[in-house]
Amino acid sequence: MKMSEQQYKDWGVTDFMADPAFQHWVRAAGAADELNRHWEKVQLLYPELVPVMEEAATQLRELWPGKLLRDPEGEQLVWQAIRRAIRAADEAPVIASRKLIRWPAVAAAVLLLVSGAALITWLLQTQQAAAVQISASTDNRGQFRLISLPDSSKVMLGANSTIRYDDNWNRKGVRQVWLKGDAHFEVKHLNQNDSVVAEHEKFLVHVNDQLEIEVLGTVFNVWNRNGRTEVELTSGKVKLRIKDTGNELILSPGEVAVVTGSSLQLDKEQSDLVLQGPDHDTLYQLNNTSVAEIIDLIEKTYGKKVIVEDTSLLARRIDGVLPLCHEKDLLFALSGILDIRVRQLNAQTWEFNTAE
Amino acid sequence: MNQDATEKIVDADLWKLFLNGNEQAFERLYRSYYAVLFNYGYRVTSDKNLTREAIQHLFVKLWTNRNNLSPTAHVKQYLFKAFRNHLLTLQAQHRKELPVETYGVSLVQDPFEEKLIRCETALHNAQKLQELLAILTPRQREAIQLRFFSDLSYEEIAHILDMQVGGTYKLIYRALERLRESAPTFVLLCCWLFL
Repeated sequence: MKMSEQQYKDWGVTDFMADPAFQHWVRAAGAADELNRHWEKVQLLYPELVPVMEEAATQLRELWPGKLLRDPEGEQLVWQAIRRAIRAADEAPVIASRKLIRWPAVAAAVLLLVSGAALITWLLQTQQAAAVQISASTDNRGQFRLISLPDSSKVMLGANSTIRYDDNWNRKGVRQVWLKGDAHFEVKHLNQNDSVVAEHEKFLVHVNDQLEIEVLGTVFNVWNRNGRTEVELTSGKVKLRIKDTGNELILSPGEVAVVTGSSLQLDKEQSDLVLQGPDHDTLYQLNNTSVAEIIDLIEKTYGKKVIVEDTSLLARRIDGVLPLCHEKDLLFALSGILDIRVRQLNAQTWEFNTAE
Repeated sequence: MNQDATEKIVDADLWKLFLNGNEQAFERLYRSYYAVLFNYGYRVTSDKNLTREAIQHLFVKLWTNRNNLSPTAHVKQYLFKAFRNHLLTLQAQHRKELPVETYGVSLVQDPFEEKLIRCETALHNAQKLQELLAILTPRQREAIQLRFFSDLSYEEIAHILDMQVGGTYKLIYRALERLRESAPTFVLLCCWLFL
């Protein structure tokens, strides 16, 4: 910053008030040394400017508001409206090409819409419960999605996962979703009376067409790896059922169930990798998790390969939280926790090296 | 690194995530900008519902149009500029519906403002100031709002108002001069505080 002191000789109050460097100095009192020195020099050089500058400073301070107006009610309302609007937009069926409109495609889409509408009308007439299915999925480029279900239950969908559910939940039927992959659920509790559970108060998760989780209202995680499914319950109560065998298991908070093929087992130990809910900035909680498992997770989440030179690293176990939503943050956190060097070899490959 | 620069980097990262369809990043952008956008919109239009509506339009448009947007290091500037367009469009629509001078400042009658003031004692002076700002032209008032209330730089304001940086400087200079000239209470208030 180069500022000559001579230019201020003939300045009036307004000149100072409108000067960005002066505004900055008044605003951040005593913040930047360089700036302080500059204005002190001006005051030494032109003592007659001191009262002018003081007046300018006082009036400027008067202009800045002490605090922002807050509008928490509006913030909440507007966000809900935005959520509704973007969800409706995301589910709009005609998204042919965003860049340019191809008229044959438009014609085809119109035709499809017309026939689709006819089909839906027909379905509605023949079968009353024909619901519109909503589907959301994530890819392996570090994407996570927070999904709000029609009953305002929340789902945090992990990477490479898909969830499907019916559009109309306000009827008498069971709330149900179909999940492939990983997710954190926060299910809204509708049941008023423990002894009588109405159908529509139940919440059913179908996992990989293999497992059913029956829920009233609770917080839990579903986690898939190496061909097995883990379900960890944080609060509430859930019932698991294997579709093929009809095997059932009731899970209490803190417990983990492991499903391999058609076997269903209780694992009393806390799961070592937990997908966190939407209230957390960091997404994964590590409890004595091995580096091998973390690498597994990275490969799944970002679709990248991790090369490890020193294989003894794989067996090391760590605790903490992993900021998995952001590639750079994750690399930085890992290199710090493990005291290793992380290098990106190319767009698809990372290398972990123990530091010499 | 100062706080502004850090915020800019965080915003740019959130922006990139949002462009990739990350709803969480999108919500964080919304949460961190709601208050500043609301303040700007409310101070310029004095219409709380119009301001809320414009924020809603802005964010819905951002989300549905995200495939046509590109990464930017100037998230704040971009949001203010886009928000301003939504505000102006909505304002034009409302004017057609009921021909009332919306730029007029009528803070005292609004129970919403009273409620806010009760919460924020520091707002007493700000309200006085708002009354004083009524003597400025709409464009002068807007520049003052952007500089002193929304904390945007001259360069950012120039971009938002579609003008040269030098022109922004002149605009703010004239506004300050006008405030000082035609508002003896402003000077009085300052002098009183100074003593």
